[in-house]
Amino acid sequence: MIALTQQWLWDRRPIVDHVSVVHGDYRNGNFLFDEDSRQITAVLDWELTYLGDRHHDLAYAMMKGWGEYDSATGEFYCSALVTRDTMIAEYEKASGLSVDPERLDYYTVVNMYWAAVALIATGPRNSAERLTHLDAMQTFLAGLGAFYIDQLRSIVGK
Amino acid sequence: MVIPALDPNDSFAAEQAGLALACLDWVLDVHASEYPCERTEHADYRETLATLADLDPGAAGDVRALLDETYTPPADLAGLRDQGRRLKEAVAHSYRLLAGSPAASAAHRAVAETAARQAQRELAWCRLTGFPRGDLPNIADVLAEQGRRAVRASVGATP
Repeated sequence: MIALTQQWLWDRRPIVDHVSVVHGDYRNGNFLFDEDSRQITAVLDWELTYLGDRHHDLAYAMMKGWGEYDSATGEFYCSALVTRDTMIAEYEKASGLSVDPERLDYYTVVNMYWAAVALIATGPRNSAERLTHLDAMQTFLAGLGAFYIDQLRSIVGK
Repeated sequence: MVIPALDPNDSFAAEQAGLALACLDWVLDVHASEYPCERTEHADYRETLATLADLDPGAAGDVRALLDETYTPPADLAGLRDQGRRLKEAVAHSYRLLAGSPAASAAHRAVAETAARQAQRELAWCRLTGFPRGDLPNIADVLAEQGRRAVRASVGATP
């Protein structure tokens, strides 16, 4: 699946129309929130940051792995916070930049590829080599990697 | 397993202990299938590598040599895993070489079918983590079904 995904990404690599600061792990869990002021006060974990395409972070924050479905309506909430349509509309309004659905799909695959490698390979290896105190969690998260492998199958395995 | 008395206010320790217990349940679900799973992967990727080699008349001698070397899978788990890894790397390499060639579409089909079976195994293997969704079969049942498919394929029947 990894080889299929690499080829799929290479064949479809898009042009970056506007260079942005890409966080690389932009989701719930990586920001501090002040409940009194209802403001995000800091964004954490910048070690994956690079200059690239804004769709990378946008697609990442919309991934199924850290979102939630509303049990009453069945609607998906990106990072368990906001619907996809609302997120796109608010981003376009705040940034003045457009969101391209095709590039969003492309970077969703980029993110799933990265997540599969990190969760199935890097995480368990770090645990086995005792490089992390979160060894139990890193091992267990391989299951999320399997989830993304299956998601990739439905896209790159066609 | 002996779990130390944990401070009830230490949520991090409680979470880690819970994960350790969940990992043990997971091991119980898959441990007996570890060797059969490696055997299935060895056979699956060797078959795929042979298909890719047939699509590429100029397939390198080292691919042919690896196919010869892996004809009989090692009996020990470490040796089996080592060969399986090399077969996977060779499949990925051959697939990249065939991209853009007239055989690219056939190569994609072969690798995609292998990848779909791999995904099925990964989901079954990780079913107790709760991340793969739905009512998933256990890995032993998936391996048995994939074994039957391989037998049907080898005798030329419709899968």
